Amino acid sequence: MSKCAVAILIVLGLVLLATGCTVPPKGGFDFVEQNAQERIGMRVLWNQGGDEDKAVSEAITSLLQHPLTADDAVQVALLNNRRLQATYEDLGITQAALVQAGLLKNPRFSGNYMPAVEAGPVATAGLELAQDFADLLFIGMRKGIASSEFEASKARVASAVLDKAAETRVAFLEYQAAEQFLEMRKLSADAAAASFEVSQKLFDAGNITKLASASERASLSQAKLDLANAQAAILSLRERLNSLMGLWGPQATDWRSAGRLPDLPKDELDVKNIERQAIKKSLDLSKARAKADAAAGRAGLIRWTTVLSDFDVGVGVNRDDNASWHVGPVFSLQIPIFDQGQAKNAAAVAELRRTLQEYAAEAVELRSAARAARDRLVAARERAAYCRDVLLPVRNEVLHESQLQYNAMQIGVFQLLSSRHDVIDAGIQYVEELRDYWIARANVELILAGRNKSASQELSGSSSSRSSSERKEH
Amino acid sequence: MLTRREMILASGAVLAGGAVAFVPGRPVLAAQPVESAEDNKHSSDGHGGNQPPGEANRDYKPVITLNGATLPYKVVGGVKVYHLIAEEVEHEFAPGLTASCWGYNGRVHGPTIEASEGDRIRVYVTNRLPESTTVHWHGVLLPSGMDGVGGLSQRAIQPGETFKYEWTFRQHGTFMYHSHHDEMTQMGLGLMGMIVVHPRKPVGPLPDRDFAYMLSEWKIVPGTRRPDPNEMTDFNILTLNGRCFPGTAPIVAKLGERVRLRFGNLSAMDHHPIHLHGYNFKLVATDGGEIPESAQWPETTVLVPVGSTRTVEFVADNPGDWAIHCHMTHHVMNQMGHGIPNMIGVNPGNLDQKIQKLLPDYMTMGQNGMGDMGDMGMPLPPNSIPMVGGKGPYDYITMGGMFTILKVRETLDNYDDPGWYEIPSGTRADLARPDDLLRDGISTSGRPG
Ligand SMILES: [Cu+2]
Repeated sequence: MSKCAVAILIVLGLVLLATGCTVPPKGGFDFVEQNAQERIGMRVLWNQGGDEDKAVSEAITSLLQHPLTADDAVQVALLNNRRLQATYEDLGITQAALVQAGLLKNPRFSGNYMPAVEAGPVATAGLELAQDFADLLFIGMRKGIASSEFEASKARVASAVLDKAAETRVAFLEYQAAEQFLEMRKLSADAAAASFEVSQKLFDAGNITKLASASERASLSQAKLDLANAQAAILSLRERLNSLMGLWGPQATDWRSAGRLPDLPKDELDVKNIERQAIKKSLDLSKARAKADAAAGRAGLIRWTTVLSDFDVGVGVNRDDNASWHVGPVFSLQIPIFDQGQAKNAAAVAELRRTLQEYAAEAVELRSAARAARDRLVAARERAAYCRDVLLPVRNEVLHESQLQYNAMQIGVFQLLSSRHDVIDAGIQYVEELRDYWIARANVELILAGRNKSASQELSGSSSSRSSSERKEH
Repeated sequence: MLTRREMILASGAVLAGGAVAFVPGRPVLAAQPVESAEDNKHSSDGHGGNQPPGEANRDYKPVITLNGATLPYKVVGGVKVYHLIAEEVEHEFAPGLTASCWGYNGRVHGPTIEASEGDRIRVYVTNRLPESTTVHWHGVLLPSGMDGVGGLSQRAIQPGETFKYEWTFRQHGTFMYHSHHDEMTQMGLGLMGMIVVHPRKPVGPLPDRDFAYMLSEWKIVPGTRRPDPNEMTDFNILTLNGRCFPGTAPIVAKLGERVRLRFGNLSAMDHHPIHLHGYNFKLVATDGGEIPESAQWPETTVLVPVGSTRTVEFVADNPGDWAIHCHMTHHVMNQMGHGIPNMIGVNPGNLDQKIQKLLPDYMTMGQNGMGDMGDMGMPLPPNSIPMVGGKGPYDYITMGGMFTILKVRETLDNYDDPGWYEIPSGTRADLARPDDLLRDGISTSGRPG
């Protein structure tokens, strides 16, 4: 055996050392799982085709068989939303990147052969096996960067779970409210129909003008239109939920919601230290931090690689023109004359500074968002409570007194029905406020769970349940 | 009666916010000097003033103010002294309806002032209202300074003040007194009363039963407890002596008695044609004086215009229970709402069931008329008597407002309400018997032939 064989063995040994790792199938998901469990009390599963998947689909089927609560809808979405499942694959990708970062570059084998010229004695040939040893030096740094990226990815995926949960919860609250709106719009239309019927009978008896009867008919038409709008709103909200819950076919049409929005809960979330809580739990900050870590690592790496990259060391055999073989080390390296790496360095440092600024910005924005969410929650509770404790009772009192005045023949049936209509309107307003309260609460919960993203930003402006005619005049 | 000193004390107490304290130097203000030259001139013209004060049951048979009272007086130095206190009064119009009104001496309306022609009278008026007031003696011939027109004949009586009016009655007849200061408010809230002056030497037969009535009108929204004096047209409570049926006491007379009814009308906006069933009567006097017998014409309805009195007489020779009421149909309703849709002739079908899904207490009303409304027993606003009439001996009496009953009986132990008249058998309208129908060829299914 020669020195040659020794060198080859060394290289192979290093190669084997570096190829020891493989990519685990659900790397990082335990973090996501644990987060979902701890932060929102929900179960998540990564469906990658297996026995578990069957269990998941059974769990979904059984959830859908009973009237759904908001929690149920969220659970179904977390188990069944394909876009969320797609997000999990980000973990696989970054996990793979981490593994990749730990791999050595493959050794390079090169050779040459020069046939003998007529004048020359023999052909010359050479073989080289070389390994980039600079790569070997940077492997730790690369792994550090990839591991930061992996951390960021885990935070991102965990955030995606929270987002999906919150989005589904809000969509479900909207849907529940819409069901109640529909119920009340039906009542409203019934009241308008009754009013119109009375007016028709009065007209038939010759007691009122066509004008008076037509006004009632106009009110009825408006009420019917409002009812149609309420029906349409339900359908579109249901479809949004179907898409969030990943449902199609009979599953999409068969599920029912578990009735009305819950009343205001007695106990409010503890929002006294919402800023501190939000900062402590923030996945956005974790992500930003991991990004900054990665950027710092990258900046360090770039600084080194500009001076030391493509540093190949290996062994070569050469046959010279005497036809004798020589074995000896070979190496090659870059000479940083033209590109001394200043530009790359500057870019990496700028990138690092950017990530640090973003981290700080994230924190400031988070604090503000936390305060805003808290304020919205407090105000929404006050409005809903006011509706429940003042507006609705007083509207009912008006109705009660109207009934008495009707009995006393001081007001007519139209005014009485109009008072009834006002009670329905107050009911609609209460449900609106109650819905807004639960949405505000979902937003606070989302922030407290570690995510700064309004779960309801898509809703604003799209969800008004008020009729276009608002109040009809009497 | 209060003594003069007590009156001063009372007015002082009012000013002192209820504290019992003598307030020295608070003068009792005179509307005019006690004896004016003009007054003396009138009081010496042979119509009275020099005679001793007339006494009830000696010089005259007292007038009866049903549901009301007669103002007591005392005689001081040959002058009849009265005291009216204008104040807020909780007044019941009929069982179930009470309101905060303005009246005199705790009554709505004020007690009837009764005197004899030639009486010199002195009326103290204490103002316990929140607003200044005056009293005008409607139809009474008296010195200009005693006429009680705020600003014109005197300065208004401020809250807490007591004014003195004094004159000699040089006429007899039926008159009225009422506030003549911010009349719309003060009369709308009830500040009025009757004045009856008896003749010294009556001409013609004297009445056995002599009744005085003040007619007035109010706006009291069901569920409120104060009349609305701002109302101009939509009055919903019409009263006889401040009461509406079924809160009115019946007029009771013995068969053959001569009955005199004196009506004064101080309604804000309405005249009242008062109609008596079972009789005709003669209009014998107005607030302008007696009508000569040759000019009295027989009537069954006497129109009592706003700001007038009308006196009618008849002999109660027709026994029974007889309605007497204003003939304006809206004036015999209680708290009718006038802004509701006309429901007559509406066939509700299954409408009630439909509406009851939204309003469980709903019921279509008025589609066959209002007659059944009074005794339906539906929950009503508190303190209200909408549509209410009274229970009669044979059915519900679907009347309210300016409605009462003249009860004429052959025998009476006293003039308390004798109960319902027992109509002799065979003289009361009832269901037609088949043999009657047959005999007279009446077909209930065909056309009248
Ligand atoms: Cu009348």
